[in-house]
Amino acid sequence: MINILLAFDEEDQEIGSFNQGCREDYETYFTGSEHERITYISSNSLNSLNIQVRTEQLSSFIFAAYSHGEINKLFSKSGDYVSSTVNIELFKNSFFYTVSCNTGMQLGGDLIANGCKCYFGYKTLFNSWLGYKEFSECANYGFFKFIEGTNTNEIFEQMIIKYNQHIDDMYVEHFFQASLLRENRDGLIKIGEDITINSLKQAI
Amino acid sequence: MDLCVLIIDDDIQRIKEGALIWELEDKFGSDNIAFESDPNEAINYIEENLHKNIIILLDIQFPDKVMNGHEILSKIREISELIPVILWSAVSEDKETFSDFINNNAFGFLSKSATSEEMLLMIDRAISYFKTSLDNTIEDWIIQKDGDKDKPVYFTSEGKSYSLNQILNEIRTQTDVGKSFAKKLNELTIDLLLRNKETLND
Amino acid sequence: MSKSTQINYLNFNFDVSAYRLLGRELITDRITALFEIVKNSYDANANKVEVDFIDVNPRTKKSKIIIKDDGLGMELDDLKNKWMVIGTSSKRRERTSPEPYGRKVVGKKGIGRFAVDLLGAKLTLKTKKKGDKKWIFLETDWSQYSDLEAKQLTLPFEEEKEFFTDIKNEYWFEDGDESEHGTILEIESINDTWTEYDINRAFKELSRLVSPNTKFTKYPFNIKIKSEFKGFEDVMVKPLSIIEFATIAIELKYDKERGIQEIVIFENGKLVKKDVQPRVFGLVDFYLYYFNQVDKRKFKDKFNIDIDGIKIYRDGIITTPFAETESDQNKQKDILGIDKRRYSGFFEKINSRDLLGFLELTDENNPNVIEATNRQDFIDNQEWKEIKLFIIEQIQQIEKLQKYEKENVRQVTRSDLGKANQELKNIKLTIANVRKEASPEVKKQLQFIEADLGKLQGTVNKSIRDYAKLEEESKQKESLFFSLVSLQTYAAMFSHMTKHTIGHVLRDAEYFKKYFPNEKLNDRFKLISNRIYSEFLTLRTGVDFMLKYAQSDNEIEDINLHDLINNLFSNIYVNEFQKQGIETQLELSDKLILNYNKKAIEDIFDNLISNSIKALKGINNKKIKCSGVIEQDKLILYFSDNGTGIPEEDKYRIFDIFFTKTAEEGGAGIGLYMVKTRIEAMQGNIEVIDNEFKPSGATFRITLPFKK
Repeated sequence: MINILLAFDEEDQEIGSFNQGCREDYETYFTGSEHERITYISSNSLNSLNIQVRTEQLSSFIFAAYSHGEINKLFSKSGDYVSSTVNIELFKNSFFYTVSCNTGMQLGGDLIANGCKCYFGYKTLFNSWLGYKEFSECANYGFFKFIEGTNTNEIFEQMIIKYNQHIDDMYVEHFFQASLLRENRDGLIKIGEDITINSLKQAI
Repeated sequence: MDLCVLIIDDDIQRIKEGALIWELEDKFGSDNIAFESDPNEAINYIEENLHKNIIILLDIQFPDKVMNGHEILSKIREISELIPVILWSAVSEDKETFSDFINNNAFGFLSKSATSEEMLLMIDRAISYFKTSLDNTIEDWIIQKDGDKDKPVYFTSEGKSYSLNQILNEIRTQTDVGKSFAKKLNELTIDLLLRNKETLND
Repeated sequence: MSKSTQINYLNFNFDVSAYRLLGRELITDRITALFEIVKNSYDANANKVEVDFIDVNPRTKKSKIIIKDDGLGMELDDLKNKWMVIGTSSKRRERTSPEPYGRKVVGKKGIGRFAVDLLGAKLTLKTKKKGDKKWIFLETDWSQYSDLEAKQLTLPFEEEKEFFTDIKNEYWFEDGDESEHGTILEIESINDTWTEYDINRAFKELSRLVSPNTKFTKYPFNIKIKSEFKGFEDVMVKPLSIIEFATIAIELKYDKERGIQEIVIFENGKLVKKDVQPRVFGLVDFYLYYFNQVDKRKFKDKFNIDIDGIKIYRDGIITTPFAETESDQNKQKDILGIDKRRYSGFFEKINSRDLLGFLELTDENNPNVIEATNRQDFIDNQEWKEIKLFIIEQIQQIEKLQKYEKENVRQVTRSDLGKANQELKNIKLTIANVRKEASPEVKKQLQFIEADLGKLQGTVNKSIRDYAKLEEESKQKESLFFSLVSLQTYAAMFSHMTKHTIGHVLRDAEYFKKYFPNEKLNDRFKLISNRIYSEFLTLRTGVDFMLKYAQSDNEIEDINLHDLINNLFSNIYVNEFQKQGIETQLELSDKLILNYNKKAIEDIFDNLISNSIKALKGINNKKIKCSGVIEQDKLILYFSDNGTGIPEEDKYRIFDIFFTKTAEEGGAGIGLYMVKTRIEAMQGNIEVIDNEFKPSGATFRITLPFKK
């Protein structure tokens, strides 16, 4: 059994509702699944101490984060909860999946350098538009694929395809929003090894 | 396109009766030609008619006690960079008007002794500008939308949110964020062309 | 760990050479040093300062410079807290010397030490205040320390060096008379040889310190120089007797009781003094001397100083902006702006190398003319601006005289040439007559003479032609210039017309061309034809007026003055008047005929109108009125407006070339000058009189002789 830690900053003023929506998608996805060690970390608990407590003992785990980000950290109103300078080594042997701005520029690389097996994130702005499910669908897609056993190289390809599908469906009527989705797609980045959920389990 | 031509000049009476106005009214409809001789009134007019595509003919020489043409141009630019302002002046192109071109993005220059034909050509250029400018396109798109334009709809997980009106303002004042939207549209266009979803000869 | 509670201090120190170097920066040459020392004596209420050069050429161990004054002197505390304190020229707390003298302080604080030091290495200072029983003696001798310094360079590093602040200056007391007071600086080990030339230079510079015109100062200040040189054995430094050498000498005084200030005006070929109201800066004496080239040379030969412009004195002593010695004339600052004038006439401009001047201020009469704290200039208030104008005005009167005299010379030359020609003709005639009766040898000689005379005549004729051509060219240039500048007053009108007229007419014609014929548009076509016609009429008037300037200036004709002025009021200027809301009145007999050049007359009134329009800006119920009466053989015209009026001090100035207060409205300042010149050319006169319209306005009175 592998630990799955899911961080959602649903109380954030700007993107809280987007994060909330994604969390609901995850909850729906995991209903009735065999995975038992799922922990949701919400806004109030999104701080480095809590992260430390939850991850210290684990030899490997899966981690997803939906919150604000900058090139070298993830943060909430409670502070930086994952950062290149604070707790980067906690993510050794993990699969790290985030939907936040810019972390692909530095944080991703730092994670891998400190033992994280594979990282998915964005090296630019991550945009979303109220009322358009396409943004969250594309955002979540890769994670679910990982849970289902696809290897990460393949996941990256498929995420791009997914993005393109939605862009192509949208652009005629919703050119503006499509242009934002395109920016998300081109910001997507994967760093690290080509792993599957099983290879992660075996690392325990 | 909801077009309107605004003429700002202190000698407005003479101009209202001139041959140029006959031509303009025949072309755009008399409802769409506006005149203001008071600079402050002119600014008010613009603010109230931002939903239209306004082309402005601006006289530079105003009596000194009032705002002069350069200052009026500055004030217009504070409202929006997207309105074409054509300088109309008896003074020939010189250092003064030149600096307005650079600093305040004047759209063009017409001499007071220009023929109606020359003036209409310049106005046509301004109309083309509306059609080809992405920023103007976005502006029109937002203007045409219904609903609450003050509700935040666009979010980035950098921590920023924008309503439609805010996006409109960013575009009009050409902030970095404002300029980025046209850029994103262009990038999508290029992407579609590269992926053969669209071709150029449509 | 705990911090030690003992707190220790280190002091700054510096060595002797540093001190002496500092001095060199502040006082750069000997003359400045002398100047500063003498200024200090002045500030100490001295009446007399004596500078004694003993054995100074060549420099020996016995050479001495003794500077002795009878000022207030110092007591021990003063020595300690003032003389011994090293300062650089900072602000003094007291700006006047102690009562009852109350002199405005001219010396710089803290500099005395350095000044002395520049002159020599050893100083024995003796000083005593009135009422003290003893003289204080203080000795400072750097010559000892220069030896020590040299030795110090060879000492090992760890040895203690003597610091400047460690140096002991011995002082002691000697008996004296209670009534004695003053300070004596005895300087030995002098640094330089003093030649006769150096003493001379010192003498000249010191002579600038005191105004030559001080008769009134209650507390005189005299400087004496003693030396071994001829002519400077025992001389009082006194200002030079300038007046004998000046080409033109003007002395303007004031009368306090009657409240009158003298000024000088060029009138009818002469400089005359006039009494006027005091100006805003208060009553002043002004001594102005002009030197032409010849007199300049004589002056320089006698005194060996340069003529260097106008200086301002207060209560007999030179004011600080003028007190710095500057050997390079080019670097001297022209704070009066005499040489910077751009608005002076072209050919007669005088600059400060042609003038010597003394403007005498007093604290009592001119309290608001204040030196700036940087001591390089005066505070730029109303009073200072007016003083500068006042000075320049007087200079301008001299310029006018120069111009007039040059013109006279021209005329004399012309007539002289004419006379010469005539005389040659007479001689030739005489010779021809003599030849008839002469013998063959004499005839031959006479033939040669005739030939020579012929050549001479040729030369004279050529000179006459050349001269006439030169005159003509010069007149044309002036005439052209006046025309051009008068044009400027049209430029504004014309550009207004262009802006509003040409475009409209062009577009009207364009519309017609494009759409004619078209039944539905006939109303518009009618409008167009009317508009084009009237716009072109307006354009034509303006063009006509400007075309006149292309024509020659010389025709004299009979002019109906009433019609001429009426044309200006009702045609040429009608649009402008309507736009500005100006009402005009013309009260002049329509039978009045003047015989003169029409353009010149038009120019005169055109300028007066232009002037009035500017003065009427911002006024309600604008009025311009022209009226005239005939008195015997003269026509007297009054031209008035109810504008902002002409201030008292400008009454004479406004006719000066380039005087303008309306540069912003496009005035070039030539207008009224030209008016005056034209009128005077007609043997007439123009002046500003009490204004007709109340409460404010301006009235010009023009007198013209006429024939009918």
